[in-house]
Amino acid sequence: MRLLKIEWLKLKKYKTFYVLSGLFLLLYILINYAVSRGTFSFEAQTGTDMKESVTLISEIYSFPDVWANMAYYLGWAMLFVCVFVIINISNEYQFKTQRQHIIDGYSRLDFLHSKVLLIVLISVVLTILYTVLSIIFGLTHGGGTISNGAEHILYVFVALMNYLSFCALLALFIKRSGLTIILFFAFIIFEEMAVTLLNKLGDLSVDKFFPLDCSDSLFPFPLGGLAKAALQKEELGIPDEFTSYVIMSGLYILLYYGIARWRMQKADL
Amino acid sequence: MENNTVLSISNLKKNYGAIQALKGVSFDVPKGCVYGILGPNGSGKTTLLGIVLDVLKSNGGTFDWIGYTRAEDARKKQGALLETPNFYHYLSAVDNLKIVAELKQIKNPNIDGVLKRVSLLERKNSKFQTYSLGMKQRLAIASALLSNPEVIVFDEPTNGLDPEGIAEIRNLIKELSKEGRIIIMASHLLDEVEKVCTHVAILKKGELISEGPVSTILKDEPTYELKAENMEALHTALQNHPNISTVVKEDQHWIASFTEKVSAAAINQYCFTNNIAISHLKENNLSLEKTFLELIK
Repeated sequence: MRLLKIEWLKLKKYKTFYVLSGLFLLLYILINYAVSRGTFSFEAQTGTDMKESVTLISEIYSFPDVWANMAYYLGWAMLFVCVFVIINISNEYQFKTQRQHIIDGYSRLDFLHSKVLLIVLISVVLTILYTVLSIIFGLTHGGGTISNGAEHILYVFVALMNYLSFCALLALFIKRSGLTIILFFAFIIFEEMAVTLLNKLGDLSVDKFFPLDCSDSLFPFPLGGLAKAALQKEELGIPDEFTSYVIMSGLYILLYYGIARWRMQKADL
Repeated sequence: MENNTVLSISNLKKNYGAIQALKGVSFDVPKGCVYGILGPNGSGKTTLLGIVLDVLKSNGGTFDWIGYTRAEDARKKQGALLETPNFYHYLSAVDNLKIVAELKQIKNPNIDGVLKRVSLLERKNSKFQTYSLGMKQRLAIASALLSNPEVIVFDEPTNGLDPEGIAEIRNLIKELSKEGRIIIMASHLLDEVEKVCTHVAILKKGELISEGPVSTILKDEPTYELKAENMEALHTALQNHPNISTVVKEDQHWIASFTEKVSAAAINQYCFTNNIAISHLKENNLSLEKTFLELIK
C-alpha cells in the first residue's frame, strides 16, 4: 500500500495523467454510445439494410454479446492507457527519479513492485469500469441475463495485464517515452502482419503464441453469436476456446515479470 | 567489525566495458568525520558512491554499512545526493519532498524546516522545473536532510552553485558536522576538501592513492609571491636563505617555497637586512595544490 501511495503522490498533480484518463473515458463511452444509438451503420460491411442494422445493434448490446462487444472497444481505447504506462515509467528514467528512489531507500524490487502494483490497480479499475458500463449498456439497450457471458470480465482483466505489462517492460529497457511508444505501435503492426502471414500458410492458430496477439483474441470482434451464424468463424478469428488464450497471456505476464526482475536486480541505474 | 566504523569498503571493482573505473578500492569511514573522496574528473568518485548507494552494481568486492543487515534500511536513514538533483519536474518542492518523506517512512517530516535551512522556503510551492540550477542543488540537499540523518553522502555538493551559494553550502556542511553527523563527500576541488573535510581518500584512475586524516595527507606549506625594485638582487637573496626550497619566476613575481614554515614577517625582515625593499609579498597555499598534483601524477 505504501508503494501505491507513493505512486499516487506522483500522479495526483500530473496533467498528462488526467488528459490520458479523460481521453480514454471519453473515447470508450462515446464509441459505445454512438454505436448503440446506430450512428455507425453496419450496412457497408454486412450489406444489410437499416432495419436489420438496428436489430443487429440491439443484438450486440444484449447479454451475452454486450460483454464481447464492450471488450472489443476496450481493446482500442486502452491504447491510451498503454501510452500512459509507457510515459509513467520512462518519466522515472528521464527525471532519474528511479535512481533517486533507490538512493532514498527503495530496494530495487520495491521500485519494480511499485510499478507492478500500479499496473494491477489500473487493470482492476478498468475491468470494473468495463463491467459497470457493460451492465449499463446491456440493460439500457438490450436485455438478457447479465451473468450470461460474464467470463469476459476475467478475459478483459488478463488481456489488460498482458498489454500493460508488455508496455512497462518495453519502457524499462528503452527508457525514453517517444521511442517506446513508436516501437510499441510498430510491434503491434509487425505482430499482426506475422500472424496473418503464418495463418495464410495453413490453419495454424499461431496467434496464441504471440505476446500481444494472444490477448487480442480476448478483445473479440463484436458480432458474437450473430456473426457465427452469418459467417465462418475462422474468418473473423473468433476463438472457440478462450482458455488457451488466457493461459498464454498469463504465461507472458509471468515472463515479463521474470525479465523485469532479472533486469532490475542486475542493471546499473 | 570495529565499532567506530560507519562504512567499510573492501576491494571494490567496477568495469564499464573494457574500462576499469574502480580497480579494487578499500577503506573504512570512521565515525565523527567529514570524509572527503578527492580526485580529478573520471577518477571513479561517483562510481564508488553509486555502488555504495546501490544504483550501480560492482564487478567485485564488498561494502558494508555497519549496523544494518539490509542496505536499503541504511539508505532510508541516510541522506544522499548523487550527481544531479533528481525530482519530478511538474511538482513543487513541497510535493517532491512529500514523496521522499513517504519513501523514507518519516513520520512527521519537517519539510519547511529543511527548506528554510537551504533558503528555499519562499519558493516552496514553485514547480521544480522553474528552479535555477543552484536552487535544484539546494533542494537536493534539503531532501538529503529530511530524515535527520546520522550519515550524509554528498557527491559534488557545490556543483553548479555561484560563489555565494558555495560558501553557504560549505558552512552548512560544517554545521552539519558540528551537529555530530558523519559526512561522506566526493569532490574534485582540493580547496573544498581541505576547508571542509577531516579525512580524505585520494582516487586516481580508479585506484586509491592515499587515505587518512587531511592533516597528514595534505601537508600545508605556504609559498610566497615576492616582488622588488631589483628582481635580480631579490632572487640572489632568496636563494641564499637557509631554509629555501625553490625559487621560480612566474609572471612578474618570484615564487619561493621553503623547507619549513617561515612567516611572511620573517621573510620581510630577512630581505630588509639584505638591503632589498620588497614591494609585494603574498602568502599562497599553493603547495597544497602541489601535494595533490604530486599525488595524482
